[in-house]
Amino acid sequence: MNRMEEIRKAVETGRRKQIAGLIKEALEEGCSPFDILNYGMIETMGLVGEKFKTGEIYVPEMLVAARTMKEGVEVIKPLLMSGQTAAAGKFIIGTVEGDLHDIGKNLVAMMVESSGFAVIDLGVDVAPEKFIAAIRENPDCQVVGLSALLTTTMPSLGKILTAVREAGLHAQVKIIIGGAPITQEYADKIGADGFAADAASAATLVKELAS
Amino acid sequence: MNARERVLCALSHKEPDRIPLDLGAGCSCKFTKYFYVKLLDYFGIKEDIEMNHIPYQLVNASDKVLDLLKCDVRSAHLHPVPREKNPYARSWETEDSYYLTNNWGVEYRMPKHQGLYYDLIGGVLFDTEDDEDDKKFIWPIPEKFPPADRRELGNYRAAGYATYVSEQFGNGFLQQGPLMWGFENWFAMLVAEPERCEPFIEKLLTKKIEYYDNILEVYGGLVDICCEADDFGTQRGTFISPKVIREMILPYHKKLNAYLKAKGVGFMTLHSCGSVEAVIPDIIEAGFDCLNPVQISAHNMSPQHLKKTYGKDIVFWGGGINTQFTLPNGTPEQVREETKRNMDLFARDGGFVFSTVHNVQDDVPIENFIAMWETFQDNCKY
Ligand code: B12
Repeated sequence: MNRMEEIRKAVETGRRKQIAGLIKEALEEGCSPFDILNYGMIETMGLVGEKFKTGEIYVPEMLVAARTMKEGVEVIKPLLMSGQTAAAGKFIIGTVEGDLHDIGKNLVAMMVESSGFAVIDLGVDVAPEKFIAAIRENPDCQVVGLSALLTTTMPSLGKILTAVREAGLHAQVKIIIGGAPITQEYADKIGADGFAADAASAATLVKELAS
Repeated sequence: MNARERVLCALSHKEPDRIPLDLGAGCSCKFTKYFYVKLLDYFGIKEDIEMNHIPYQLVNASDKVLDLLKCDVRSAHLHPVPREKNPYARSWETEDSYYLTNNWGVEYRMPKHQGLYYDLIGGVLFDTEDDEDDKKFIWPIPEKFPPADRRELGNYRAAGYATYVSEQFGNGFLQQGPLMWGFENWFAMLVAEPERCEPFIEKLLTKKIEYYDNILEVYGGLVDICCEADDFGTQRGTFISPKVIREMILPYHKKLNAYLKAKGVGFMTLHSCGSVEAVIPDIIEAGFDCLNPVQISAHNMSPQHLKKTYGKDIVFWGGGINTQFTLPNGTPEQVREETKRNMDLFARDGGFVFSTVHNVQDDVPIENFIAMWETFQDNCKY
């Protein structure tokens, strides 16, 4: 197996401790940092996301892959030329007020980040004002993701959308929603710009909406 | 037939006189505080509310309310007596929030303004790197219980109710770790460093046994049903691969189930949220008699499929109404229709205890709850 394939394998199987060493070896052997990032890691993570979506792998496998990639990116980032580091876009995400569920939200953040976006994660129990403030502070953000896992916190999704509209910010950002009880139908009902049922689909959706 | 006979008959996969009902007593069949206030208003009852679980804001429904609802199950109201001061446990408040750290070093926060639940914000092992760090954890000592409390459960038994112990020592073998290391750290550890998880799971088993010994020291011979809680599912499937659940987690449940049955506990329930269909045969194999909350809205969890495929071997304790859509957000008409449909699908040949899928949350309109309850009463006779 050549080095690049080993990097892909390490990301896919989440061998975090090996990734930095493999990247160094690949660089010494003449691979370009840009290829290592795009082909070696971003593309692999996309495949991992697809496998998660189809149920071939589970939350832990997805987590260790994303963590491995994150560590790899730390090694590669300083080596990229300035033009190559430009993020594909900026994405803000958070779990809405009153809700602590963040496993799904974090997987979405990881997949979107792995597909080349800068991600600002506001955490859990995020009040509408905080989303508004974050959008104002990041005029280059194209998409905002809201996660809700409880029927008791779903109404916050609509509240945040209204707040964004009232603040005159909806022309600037698209709002997408997700979480266990959320459906496309619900997204349409409250006028969200998009919905995705899993992390890989969320990354595809963010890319679409950002371009 | 009294309530206890009814429940035990259903748990033995036979048809009793009517479908047994559990609302407000069993594990995850309870009410949140603000919903309970609505229920008290509806019945025109004034009472001091006794909390059951602070982080999730669940109450111990009173006997008066349970009688009005004609419930067949009563749970022991545990009053744990600490044996030593726990180094982590404390609660405090700031201007805008309440905070608490439990015996496991898990930290929670609830906003004072419109807070519905406590949010998990941290734990003592969240930043640990290796098993040397893990060893610094100070395990909680299972509490004892006042011997005088035996009378309460004895009275329930004498009055003909099915008796239930619905609190556990920590979460299950899969889900206690996440609360302490953080969900992501733990799940990553499970596949990447299982050798760090195993000693913890092993120790949890010995602690749980000690806990149940303390419970049975007081309630021995009086407990019909116990419950362990271990969420295996998400909306779309299992959290981790069925293989890992089967090989790393369920063997411990199996040991605990065998231990408790040998000690005279009648039936064991597993509370496991989400889509757990892929591991139901393994849950049965581990010696569980009942499954709760039977999250029928999750993938592959339709009542038809579950009843047909597993109905002979496991009791469905829950699954009465979908709490992710219908109960909080449907119309009373939709609630009636779904309640009736689920009862028709689950009831045949016993093996069914009616309850909502999970605790009834604050957002459930009282009209919907009553629509469900009336539909149940109108259709529960076999
Ligand atoms: C794990 C879990 C917990 C953990 C949360 C830990 C954590 N750090 O997140 C703990 C134990 C702490 C917990 C607590 C509670 N929980 Co809980 N929990 C779950 C459980 C079992 C799994 C959720 C999960 O992590 N799934 C795994 C991830 C990967 O999936 P996901 O979150 O759905 O995310 C995917 C997609 O939805 C999507 N997605 C997610 N977010 C976003 C955002 C965007 C923008 C997009 C595009 C996509 C997207 O992509 C993700 C990845 O593929 C669910 C069961 C279920 N059916 O989901 C119950 C569940 C959500 N919980 C429930 C309840 C009731 C509670 C409590 C209120 C407790 C209670 N017992 O009464 C408390 C709430 C406390 C609070 N303040 O929020 C109920 C909600 C019912 C309802 N009425 O809505 C559920 C459905 C269980 C049930 N059977 O009824 N819970």
